[in-house]
Amino acid sequence: MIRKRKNRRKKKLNSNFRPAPFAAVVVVITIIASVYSYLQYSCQQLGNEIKALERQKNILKTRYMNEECRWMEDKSPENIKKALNRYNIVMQWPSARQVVRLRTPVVRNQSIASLDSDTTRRRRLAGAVMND
Amino acid sequence: MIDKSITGRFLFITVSLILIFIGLGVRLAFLHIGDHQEVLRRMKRKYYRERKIIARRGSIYDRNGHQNVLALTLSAKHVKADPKVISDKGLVREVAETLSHELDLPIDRLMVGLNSQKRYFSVKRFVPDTELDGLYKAKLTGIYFDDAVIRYYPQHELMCHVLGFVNNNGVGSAGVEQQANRFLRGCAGVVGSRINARRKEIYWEGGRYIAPINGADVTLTLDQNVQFIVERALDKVMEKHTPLGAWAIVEKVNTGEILAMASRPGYDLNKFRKSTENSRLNRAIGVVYEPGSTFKVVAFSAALNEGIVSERTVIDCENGSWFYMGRILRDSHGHDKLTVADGLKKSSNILTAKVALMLGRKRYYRYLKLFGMGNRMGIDLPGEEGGILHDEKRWSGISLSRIAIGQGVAVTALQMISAYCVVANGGYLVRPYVVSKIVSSDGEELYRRVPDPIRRVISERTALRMRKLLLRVTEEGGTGTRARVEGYKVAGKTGTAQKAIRGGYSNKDFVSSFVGFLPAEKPEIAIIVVVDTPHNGHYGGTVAGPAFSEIAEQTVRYMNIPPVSEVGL
Repeated sequence: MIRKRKNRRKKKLNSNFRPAPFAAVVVVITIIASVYSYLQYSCQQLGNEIKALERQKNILKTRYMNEECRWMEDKSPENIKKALNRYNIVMQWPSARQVVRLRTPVVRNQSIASLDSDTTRRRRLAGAVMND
Repeated sequence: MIDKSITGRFLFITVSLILIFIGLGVRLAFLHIGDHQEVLRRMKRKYYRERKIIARRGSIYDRNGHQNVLALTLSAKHVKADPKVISDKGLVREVAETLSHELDLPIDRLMVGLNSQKRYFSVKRFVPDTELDGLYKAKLTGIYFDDAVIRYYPQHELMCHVLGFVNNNGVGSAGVEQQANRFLRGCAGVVGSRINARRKEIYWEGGRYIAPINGADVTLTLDQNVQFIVERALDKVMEKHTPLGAWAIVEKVNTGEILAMASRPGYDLNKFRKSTENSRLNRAIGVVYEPGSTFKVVAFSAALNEGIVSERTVIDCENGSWFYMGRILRDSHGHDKLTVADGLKKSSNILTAKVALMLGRKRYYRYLKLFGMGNRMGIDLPGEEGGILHDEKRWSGISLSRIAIGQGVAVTALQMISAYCVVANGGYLVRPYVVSKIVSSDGEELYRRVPDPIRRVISERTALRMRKLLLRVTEEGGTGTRARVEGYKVAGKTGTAQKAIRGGYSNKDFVSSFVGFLPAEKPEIAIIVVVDTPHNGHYGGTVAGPAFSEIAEQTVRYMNIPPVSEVGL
């Protein structure tokens, strides 16, 4: 009986089963799975975050455009005129005698003749097609 | 017995499992052996979602750039409903009342639309985001929103004919919106991604992302304040003289930049669907009219340029009635003899006709073409008319004498102001334009307009002489005294043209106009005002003259154009 037991032990020792490499494989697989899960989770989180930020950006952009539009509407000449009327403010252009000019007028006139000779510019202009 | 029942069950389960696996195997075999490409495509489509990213249409600015936005794109929503969900829950009245209140819609239409078993009902399209706050808060069952964009014009009616509008498909359909649509529209982007069975995006699977290209921004040559001045002046004319229409243009004489272009009646660009075809017509470039005396500038310029006459040449004005080629030509006030200079000042038809006859029909026709009559000016706006000028070979015996005084020829206001710019800038016909530059959304300049002198029409000396003659029109004794501007010298011409009717000319319907430029010594801006069929007066000097004066006075102050000198030309 004692002999038999010994043999059994020997048999066990001689089998191909290696706990350490097996454990290593399991650990590696577990690590890879964990990393994959973590990456997946992070990715999901980042995706959600990006989406939320994009939504926020769109909301802000919309709000900005709406505000810009409202501002443009408020400062349009028509509305300024209405606002002045509301507060009984009458504004008039100064008469010619009231205008004091400190400098001699700058020569504003661009010579049209100089433009006539500028064929390059004209050619470029001709090449630009505006409409479809 | 027990053994047998266990065996039976075991067999049943085994057979069932075998059958299931055989079924799955057969299905699998079919999927692989058969037309699996189609299945694959269907599956990919099912688990792939693609969304269009709307590109923002470019903005339109006035000549001051970003300070004054004339057209911009706002986000909006299409409001839609699922009537089945609403009616199944018995919420038809409640939902209809809220929608009616928030969106200003008739409740009966909503009740009919929502009280059905359909799965789709369009409540309202293109609702601005700003108007949806109440609806968002109400959180109505069965109401959904689709993303959309709308074109908004903060100035409403201002510059309506120049700006134009965008139709429901986002295509520019009039004015600059149409002309520069290629630049303004931009290009939509795409975002595509894989989704799981719960329709949630699988981020780590990657996807397709094509960024939208926003439309380019267009900067105009027009100034919103000058435009406002012009439109206000036209509104006054419309109120005082109740004409069929009135239109005006302000142009820089040296460069051809249009500073303002207005037409009445107008319309609110944000409600263009409610406007009429008549109000949408840009009369400044799209209506041709017989110009009357303002057209005399062509005959006088040509005659002076050719040396046929001088300012001092005296011509017999036949005491206001001249029988020529079987027809009578009259002056509004009879004169015996006048110099050419006085003939223009007093706007004598007979003198002008005689000057044109001295010039000859071939030479006069050549000058008409040089001034751009009968051809489009080539402005960068859609809908420009070219006017009516018959070929010289088709002229009758009296055509020359009549065309010289602005009858038997039709022009647009743009052609007329361009002709006066020739005199004002020293003899060049310059192409007018409204688009100054186009800049892409990433800041790259795609287009920049430079002044385009088409040709020299008259010599610089002739232009100067004509300026002196036209200056006399607004001086004491001239027809255009009401077009004067305090502190400035104005050169211009009045026009009172009988409207052509079948078989002749009307005695009660007129087109009154005034064209001029200032400061006369060194012209900067030219202005034309045209009034179609005015009441309470019909002379160009009394109807269009004051409007010209009002526009000119405020524009020179606003643009800080100084009066040149006191010494004269």
